[in-house]
Amino acid sequence: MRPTSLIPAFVDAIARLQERVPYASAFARSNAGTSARVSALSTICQPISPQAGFTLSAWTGERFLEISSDRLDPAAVAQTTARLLERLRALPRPDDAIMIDPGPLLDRRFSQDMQHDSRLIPAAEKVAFATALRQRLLDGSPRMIEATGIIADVHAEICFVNASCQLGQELHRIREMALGTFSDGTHQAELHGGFERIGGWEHRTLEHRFIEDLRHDGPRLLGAGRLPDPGEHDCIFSGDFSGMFAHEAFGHGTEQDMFLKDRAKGAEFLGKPVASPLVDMIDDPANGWAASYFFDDEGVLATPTRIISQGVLVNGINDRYSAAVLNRRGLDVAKTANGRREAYDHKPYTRMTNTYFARGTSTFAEMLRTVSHGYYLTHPSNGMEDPKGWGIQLEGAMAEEIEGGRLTGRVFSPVVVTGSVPKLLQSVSQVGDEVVEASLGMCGKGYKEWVKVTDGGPVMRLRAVLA
Amino acid sequence: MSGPAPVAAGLDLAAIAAALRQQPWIAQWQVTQRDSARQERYLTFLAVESERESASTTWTIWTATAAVDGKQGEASFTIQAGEPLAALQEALGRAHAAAQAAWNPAFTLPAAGEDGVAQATTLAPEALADASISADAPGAVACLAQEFATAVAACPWVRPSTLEIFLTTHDRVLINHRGLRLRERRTHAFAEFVLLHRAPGRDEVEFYHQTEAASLQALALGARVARAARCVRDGAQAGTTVPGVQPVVISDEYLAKLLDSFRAHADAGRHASRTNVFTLGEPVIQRRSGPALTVVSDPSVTSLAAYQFDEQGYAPARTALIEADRLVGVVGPARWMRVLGRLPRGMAGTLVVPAGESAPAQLLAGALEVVAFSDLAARYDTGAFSGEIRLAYRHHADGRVEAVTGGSVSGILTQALADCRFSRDTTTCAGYHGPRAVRFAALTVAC
Repeated sequence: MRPTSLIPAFVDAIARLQERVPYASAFARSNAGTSARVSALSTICQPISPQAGFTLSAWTGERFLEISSDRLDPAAVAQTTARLLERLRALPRPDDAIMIDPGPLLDRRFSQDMQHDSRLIPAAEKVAFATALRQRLLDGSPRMIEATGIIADVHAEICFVNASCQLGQELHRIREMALGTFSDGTHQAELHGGFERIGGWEHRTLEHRFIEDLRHDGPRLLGAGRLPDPGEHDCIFSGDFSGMFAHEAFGHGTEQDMFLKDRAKGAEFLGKPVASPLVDMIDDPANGWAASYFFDDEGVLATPTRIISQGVLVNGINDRYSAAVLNRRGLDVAKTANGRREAYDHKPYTRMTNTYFARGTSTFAEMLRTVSHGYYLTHPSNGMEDPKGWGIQLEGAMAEEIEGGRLTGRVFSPVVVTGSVPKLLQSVSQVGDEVVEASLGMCGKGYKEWVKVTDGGPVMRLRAVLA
Repeated sequence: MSGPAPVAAGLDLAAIAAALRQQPWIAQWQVTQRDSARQERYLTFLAVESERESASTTWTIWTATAAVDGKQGEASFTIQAGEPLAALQEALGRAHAAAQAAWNPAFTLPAAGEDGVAQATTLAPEALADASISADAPGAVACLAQEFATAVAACPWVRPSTLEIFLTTHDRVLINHRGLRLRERRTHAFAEFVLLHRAPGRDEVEFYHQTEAASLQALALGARVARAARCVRDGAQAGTTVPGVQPVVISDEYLAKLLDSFRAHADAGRHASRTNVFTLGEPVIQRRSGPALTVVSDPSVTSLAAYQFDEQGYAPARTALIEADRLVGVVGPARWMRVLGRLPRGMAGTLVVPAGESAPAQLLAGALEVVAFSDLAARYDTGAFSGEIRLAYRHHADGRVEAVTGGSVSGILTQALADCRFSRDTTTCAGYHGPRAVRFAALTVAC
């Protein structure tokens, strides 16, 4: 069954649960799609895991009880409701209940557009495209000893129901990726690239810039050593590197479920400057990038949140529980659409979506001219945040040397950025005039609970500790 | 709750096997049934914020056509409990189309009794599954929460920000068209917690810890909380890391993650696709001093990487991967082992490294001992690794120990191992069993 077909059963379940508790909700999701992957050794074309099921949630006034089922049928909803009520009967009613706002009355269905429905493309055509992508990488790349081409279409159908709203959405996106393995006989290097887009088969392309970047930059990594002069340097972050910086710096740092746990120093800095006045930062689940949706996994309609405005930390992002508790404490917290689950059977947390630095006015050439000695950082790979201590770690595959306002062509690999988040942000002295979307991202809460995100930004000039 | 829920009405293994036998295009098939049941509890400052329970059943079905010119068409898919037989039939139709598009080197699934194939339970059941989790997961969750509270109470300087507990029982049944039928139960205990502490006149700091094991005993939550409490107290008064090239000691899960890169270097798929960095027989380390490195894959050694049978039904087998600093073995899926002309010997299991000879004091003298990184892993292609230091101890020559934070440690694994020393005490974490700590003679520390 489709998740939205369970809405009548969910409405009944919520009515029964709310005879006992102040707030109840239902969330259901099923996934569909295919991944085609071609390498020298194997060809794989398989459906993605359906991960279909639902969760019923009951808020007692002081805690959530949730039960998940992998069966999308009304009988399973009735059984799960009975089980949840049985567990609720064993709990005392709290004296001082926190109320969760169910939001406005809504009954809507949404769907992302696909010009060419990728679910209808035959397996053979998907394999043929992945094969062509692989060949496109290998052609004329003598140092590329192996390449893998991947094309995947990912579809999710989601519904959310509480006492106020009945919402359904269909999300569609396509992912194109490639991995190159390079060798000069002595050294080996690997580099991957790709993109994700909302929509369908119309977005596949053999002409995307990432393909040329892989072919150009992969061989440059062969034999590249670590930085010869680790320490603080003038840097230029590429747009996708800036994106990872945004995500790790004040994406995680403003997730307000961390505020409840006293794990975010940002809680003390709302309304205060944390960055150069050149810095603006936004989380926007509705901007059309690959992590976009119409409503979050708690039924809140997607709207953008300005996190940093001209260097001042102005807003956090939250889930329903975090917003309820913080408002109970007297903070005037605006509800944002950031309650997200890894899957139907995972807990919702406050999570980012499409997080990016806004564009400025400088060009890359202008920035480059002002750096007498420094590095241009590209090909971000992974990052980690510390919202309590405001430490940060960003890692990338390539740092290219800048001398006398020019790129020298010498590259070092890998490169890691560490330091204090506000110190890094306050050192931003130039911001580029074009925002780049890095669309392949996934984000963990700590080291688990993976959800789809994107990040992005313009090129930025700043000072950072590199190694 | 007593283990995973029964298989839902509708599909079951017998019905799936019958449907597969009726497909004329299917020459080989395998079905893996996975039942799992999970209990979770989330605490904030010791108050319960959320409790969750879930159960699921899936069947992962792999099919192949008859081989033509040494190649076979392959397709796999997953179907969930509650789906009707018609859904399986539709999925098989799509699998047929996918198999016609995905041709791979032919191989044959194993049969019971063949060399290297699991016959029944190889390991003692308690090696993989903790009966206290599978029999009463809610009770086990409550016990862990109490263990946490007791441990925190013994450290009155900390505030217990969060605790997340997940306890899961997984049952796996594997059948194939050659009559193989194997069953395994395993349990998984996971805990993540954060302790806070503020030193007078300083900002409050946190210490984050995540741990997982097959049993509650191996999880050792109370002991981990006690250690974390000491770390957060020290971290609250930590000074600044001193940069430079210096001896660095890395231990437990970080050491396990670094050495885990040898699992990739010995991966049969890498060697079959000729994207391996090291060739068999080649040194992986240019030794400068200290004893040579030995790394073994042994799925019969208890850890989260132990198993009764692998993805295709092969039994646990010990395979030497690194001996005397040289790559000597490969391990991985049967199909890639056959491409390499080797007998399948199961997927990689627990990574076992022999204990070293150094006592803790010998390792730590004059070194920077890093106890918490933001993240640390070595790149497969170059062996390069870097990690931001969340908390470290600087062991001065005069015996003083100073907590520090900030900056990063970086190096190249194969160079760093060239003059390292391992501890004589051992640990088991994630899929690793071996020395608890290693001392690298010279790593770069940058601030």
